[in-house]
Amino acid sequence: MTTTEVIKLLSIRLQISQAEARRCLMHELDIISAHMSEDSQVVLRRFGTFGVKETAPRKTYLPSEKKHYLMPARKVPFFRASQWLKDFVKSWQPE
Amino acid sequence: MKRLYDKALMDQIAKVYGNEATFLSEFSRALLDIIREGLIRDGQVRLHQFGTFKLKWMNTRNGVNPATGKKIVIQGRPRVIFTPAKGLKEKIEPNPPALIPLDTLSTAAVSVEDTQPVGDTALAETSVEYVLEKEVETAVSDDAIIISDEVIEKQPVSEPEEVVADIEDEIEVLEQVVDILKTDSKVDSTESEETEDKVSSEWLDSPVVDQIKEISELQYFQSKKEDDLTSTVTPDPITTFNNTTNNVSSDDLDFNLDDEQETVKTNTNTSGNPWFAMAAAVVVLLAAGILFNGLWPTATDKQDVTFLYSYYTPTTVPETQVAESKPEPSDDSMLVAETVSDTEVEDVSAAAPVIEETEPDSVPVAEAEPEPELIELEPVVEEESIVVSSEQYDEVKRASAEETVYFLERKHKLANGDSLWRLAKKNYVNPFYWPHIYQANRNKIGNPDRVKMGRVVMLPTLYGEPDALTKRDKRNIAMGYYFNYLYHKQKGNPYAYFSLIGVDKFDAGLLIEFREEIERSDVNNLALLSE
Repeated sequence: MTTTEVIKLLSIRLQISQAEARRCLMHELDIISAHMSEDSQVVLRRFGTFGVKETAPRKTYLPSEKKHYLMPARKVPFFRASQWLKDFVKSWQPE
Repeated sequence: MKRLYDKALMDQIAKVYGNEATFLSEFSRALLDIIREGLIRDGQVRLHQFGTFKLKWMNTRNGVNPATGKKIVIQGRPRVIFTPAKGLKEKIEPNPPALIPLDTLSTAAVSVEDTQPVGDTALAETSVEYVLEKEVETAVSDDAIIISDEVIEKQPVSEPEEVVADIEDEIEVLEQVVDILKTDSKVDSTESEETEDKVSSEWLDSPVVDQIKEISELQYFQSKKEDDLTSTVTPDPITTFNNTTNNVSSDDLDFNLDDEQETVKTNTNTSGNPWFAMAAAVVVLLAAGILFNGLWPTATDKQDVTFLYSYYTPTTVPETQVAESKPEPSDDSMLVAETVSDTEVEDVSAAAPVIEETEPDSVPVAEAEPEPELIELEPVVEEESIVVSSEQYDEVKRASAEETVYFLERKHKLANGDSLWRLAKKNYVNPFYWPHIYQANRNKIGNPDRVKMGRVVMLPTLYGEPDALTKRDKRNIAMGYYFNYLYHKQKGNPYAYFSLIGVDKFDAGLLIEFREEIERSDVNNLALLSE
């Protein structure tokens, strides 16, 4: 499922135009990402939590240059599925 | 840590689309609903500039219950995985730090050794006097001072004005050394220069020497931190550091006497305070050891240490020193470490204000007109209608507590020839109750008309007799009919409104409850049908 499909379904379910559905969707995702950039978590019921975690600096090796590098500490976004979503998804099986 | 929950999120969305607040509180729920359904349908949902939600199948595996120690089989299950998109990563970290090469720093610093600046020789004498006066606390003759100069060229003992409490223990070792110094000085004064070398070699062999070095370095580094040196020719902190570390690294554990003496002599002759720079190295060694103890297993490597120092300059070295060292580009190669540290400092300073700009209250969207009318929102009212699946979820739990039910819930694996209609006819007598099953298993059944073989479906409880249904049963069946209508509406089926007949028959209140989502033309068609 892609963004366009999500927008179509939203417009059908909420009886709005697709342009408006797109606007609302982008706006909501913007708000979530803006909060994540402030290191705060966004908790959505029956879905999960979005947040940011910091990775430790680590040593890397680039085989193309044959050199060792240090990857500094970075901030990485994460999503943790809630228990409700895990239960919801349980019946899914790969094709 | 700050946490933002659903309601706050909806309020923020409603700040922009204020008048349609009731719709918008529904919007985010509908979005999550669609994402969940899409996950089950396609296995993945991609949102532009945000990320993809994906289901990954984890195979069954053997495990051990940590509490009891028994072996158990962990059943295979899907896992929800979220991979952030590039746009989201850039929003969270607009200026990501670049990779830092580890090898170049140590190699470049070797050439700096030749261009070490010249220091005042007078300082050494004064410092020695100072040490002997204060530390030894004994009457010192003039001869002793002169002789000790020569020895201290190898093992200088310079104490700063203020000593940190942590080093006080190590100073005891120093005092022992000073006693040895006295004895050696007597010998040196009488004997020729050749003998001096022997004495010094004895010195260098002893393990105490290493300790003295470290201690003196430590002390110097602190004194240097307190006040910048008055001499104009003092080397940059980072360059001197590189010099010293290279000296140390060349020697390593196998101590070459000749090399050591040479380096020491050159240092003492050219600059009045070479050991001060060594002190910087040791401080960083200790700091790096503490910081990187867990993360950095190879921190003991000297080459790595040079790098670590430059990497952590912002924390250890005050900014003033870094700023001063900038306008003295004495060597190109030696400034590699410096440039790296400077760029990092800039990165930090550049990244910090960006985060500060976006305050939680002043989210870029929230700049639009905040409307006070929004306070009258009542999102609680809508929870009943939208969170249908949660009701079903709770219902399953409650079902066991019920005493008299017509049909108790049970699992059923869909076999060949099964359909919701037949299942309803078999279990609930009346085949028109098939939406009851659909409503309970909407996450597992995509198309209610065609169910997939092999899936396990929950047959929900029927509380009343098939002839006399309870209110709850009727509502569930009506909900099933309603979602069947939505499904066919999505597919573009012109006869989707037929399923509204079921809604009307079992629970007509839903028609009013979902009047915003049901098309008006369909309701008109329904009215025509009934006539």
